[in-house]
Amino acid sequence: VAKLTKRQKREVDMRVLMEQALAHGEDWKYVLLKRKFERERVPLTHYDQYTSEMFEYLGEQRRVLRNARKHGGMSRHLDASFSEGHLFRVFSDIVVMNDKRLRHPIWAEYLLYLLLPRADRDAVAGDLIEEFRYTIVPKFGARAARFWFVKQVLSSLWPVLKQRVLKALGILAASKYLWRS
Amino acid sequence: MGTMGEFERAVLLAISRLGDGAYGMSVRQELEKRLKRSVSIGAVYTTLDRMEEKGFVSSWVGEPTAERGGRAKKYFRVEAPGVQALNRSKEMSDAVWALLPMRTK
Repeated sequence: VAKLTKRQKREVDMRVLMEQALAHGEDWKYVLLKRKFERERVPLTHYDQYTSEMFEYLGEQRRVLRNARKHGGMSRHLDASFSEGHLFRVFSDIVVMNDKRLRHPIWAEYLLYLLLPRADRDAVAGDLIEEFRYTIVPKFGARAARFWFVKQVLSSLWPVLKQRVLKALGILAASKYLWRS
Repeated sequence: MGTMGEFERAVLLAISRLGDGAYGMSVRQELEKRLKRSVSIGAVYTTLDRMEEKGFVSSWVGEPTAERGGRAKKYFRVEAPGVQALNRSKEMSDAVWALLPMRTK
């Protein structure tokens, strides 16, 4: 067994920590660790600096939000406009900006938003994004994963459209019947 | 009392099997595993919405997580009318199968 150098050992440790962060869904921690990991090889760019600062700022905001919610010192209006889901979305967007492989086709998600009922939009998009990032990309690579995402969206639209058409036909038939009687 | 189709029955059984962890994607994966064919997420949600209208299942929204890009999960649970409909469907199916003569060697 080849002996690892001190630097190699450190690299392995960092990779393990990054994988743990990913496994726990802590994208922000993953990005910070990744930046730290890369910093040792390449000099920090202005953009990296900005990203790290953004993450620290967002982490702080999240703590404030949690505390405010815990102690009930937050108005309903503020709660609605500054939800934890919104913060997570920003975290997630920054992660995706850093890793092009994790970007799903946004136009396909837009199709879902156009055609799905309001109550299901977030849940369906979230389910697809979760499987896209954590199962399909690691297993088959970015290009195949994007194809999978589009296929899922297109095959999901047919049942939704079919249900809408059937409902419309049902209403039409009922109104015709009422008109005649 | 509402009736249900074959796919609805499969979805109800998948939710019962998954218990507290039943949400759109886990139900879809369970269905693909059991039915051995691809199932779209849209078909699953359309069926779930229809069954919710019938009172077979109920849903609630979970916490938003970073791994889903800040989008919350929608969890599902089988309600008493759903269990009754499942039992009724099994009884009917058994009754139809009982009409066939048993093959004996």
